[in-house]
Amino acid sequence: MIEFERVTKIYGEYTRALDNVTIRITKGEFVFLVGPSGAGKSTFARLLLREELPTKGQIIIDGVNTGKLRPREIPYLRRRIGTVFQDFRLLPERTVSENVAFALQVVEAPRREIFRRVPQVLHLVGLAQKSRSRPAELSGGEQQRAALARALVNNPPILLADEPTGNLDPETSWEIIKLLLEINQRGTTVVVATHAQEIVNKVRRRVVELERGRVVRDQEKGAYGNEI
Amino acid sequence: MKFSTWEFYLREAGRSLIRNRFMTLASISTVALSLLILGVFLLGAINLNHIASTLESQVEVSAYLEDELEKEETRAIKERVQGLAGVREVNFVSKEEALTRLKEQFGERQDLLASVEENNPLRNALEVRAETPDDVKSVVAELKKLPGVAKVSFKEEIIERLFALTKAIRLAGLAVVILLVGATIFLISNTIRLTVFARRREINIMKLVGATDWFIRWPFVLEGLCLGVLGSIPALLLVVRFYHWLAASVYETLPFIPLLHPGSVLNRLQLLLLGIGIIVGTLGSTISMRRFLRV
Repeated sequence: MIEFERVTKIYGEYTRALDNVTIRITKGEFVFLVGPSGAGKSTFARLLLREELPTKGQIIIDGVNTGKLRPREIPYLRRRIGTVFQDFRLLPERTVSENVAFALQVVEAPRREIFRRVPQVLHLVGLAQKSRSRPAELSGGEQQRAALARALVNNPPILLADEPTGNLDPETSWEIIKLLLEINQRGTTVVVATHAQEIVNKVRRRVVELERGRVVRDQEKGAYGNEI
Repeated sequence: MKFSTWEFYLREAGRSLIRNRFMTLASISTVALSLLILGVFLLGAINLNHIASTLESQVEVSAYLEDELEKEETRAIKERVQGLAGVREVNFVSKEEALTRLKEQFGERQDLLASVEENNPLRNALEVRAETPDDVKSVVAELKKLPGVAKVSFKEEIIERLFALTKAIRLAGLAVVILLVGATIFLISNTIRLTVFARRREINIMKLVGATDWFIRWPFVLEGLCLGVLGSIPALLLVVRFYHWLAASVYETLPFIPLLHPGSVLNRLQLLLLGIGIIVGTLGSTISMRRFLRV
């Protein structure tokens, strides 16, 4: 589903954000991408979303080489990847359901589809009761659920979560992770970049550890540290 | 494109016009002011052009006839001249008439002409008026070829000057138009830039969820278009009222000035101003998107 082949990304002249990284993630996998800040997790996300191109190597997503995409094809790649961020990125002046519908409007989904999908996905993330609230009226966890609903409303085969629990307390974080696991159960490939140790240790899924731009560990059912 | 998509664009454009109402108002005023100046200037240019060509067509060509012509021969020549292409009017001026006119020009110093009265040195002449200023030169050439015509003269200098004036007016007009249009485009692009800035969050999310570049751009294009159209409406109304007023007062007090009739210019002028408003608005937003909206 996602293949990074010997990917190197250099910023400026010397900063090697990723250094000869090879990662293969198959369809339906759940992967934690861990490592200290500056290890290259965000660069991985930017390259995956084709916000940038690798300096060397190639990235193949769902059979498509991102380096060979024409600019006007990029949006269609992004429709295949749902994204969630630490800061939620909701539009403050719109309600929860408007925020979710927005993602469908901008890909020109038919109105009937929007009316059908939005309540469905809000139900999935457990926000059906709050559909008419604005982001400011929600707790952090609820805001992240809304963001998750927006990421999923388009039915993307891949979900990328960049520090999804960074702004949440442990209990709420755990709820979000459970939701991500549930989404994964339904067949979506999920990549979570995080440095929340307890969660990684508790879930025991594949862990890819980055350090200074290199893959230093790639382990099935791994933990955050090397304590096994 | 789907109807709901257009609805989305329009709502987005309307939202940001209202959200930045101060800049919206400023841009509309600028567009209005520029188009107003432009409209007044265009009216001036069109009218000066019209006056110039009216004057041009009034320029006379004089064909001086040889002295020993019989009356019959003179009439025949007059008829031939009348038949030439581009000739509107031919008048015969006898040498006696010519002398009388000359005397009138001398006024009180007619005594200076006393010596020539006996032996009139002037010639019989045909005064020819061309259909249009462009015809003058060809008429002159034809006249020169006619037998019995001794000399052809026309006030070339005046024609050249009028042409130069008309050309200058057109050039100045072009310069003013370019300047005003440039300034307006700049202002609109600034307004749109503010909108882009105010909406950077939404733009970011749109990109993230896979909106196409044009989907992101359209609301801004529409916003610029609205600014252009909204600005051109007050300009149109003012220009129209101004010209009606001007025409009425000129017809009343200075009837010899051949001002164009309002009905014959205003419709086209209004369309032109509206068109310029639309182009300027769209161009302004397109420019600011190129520079500030790297989608």
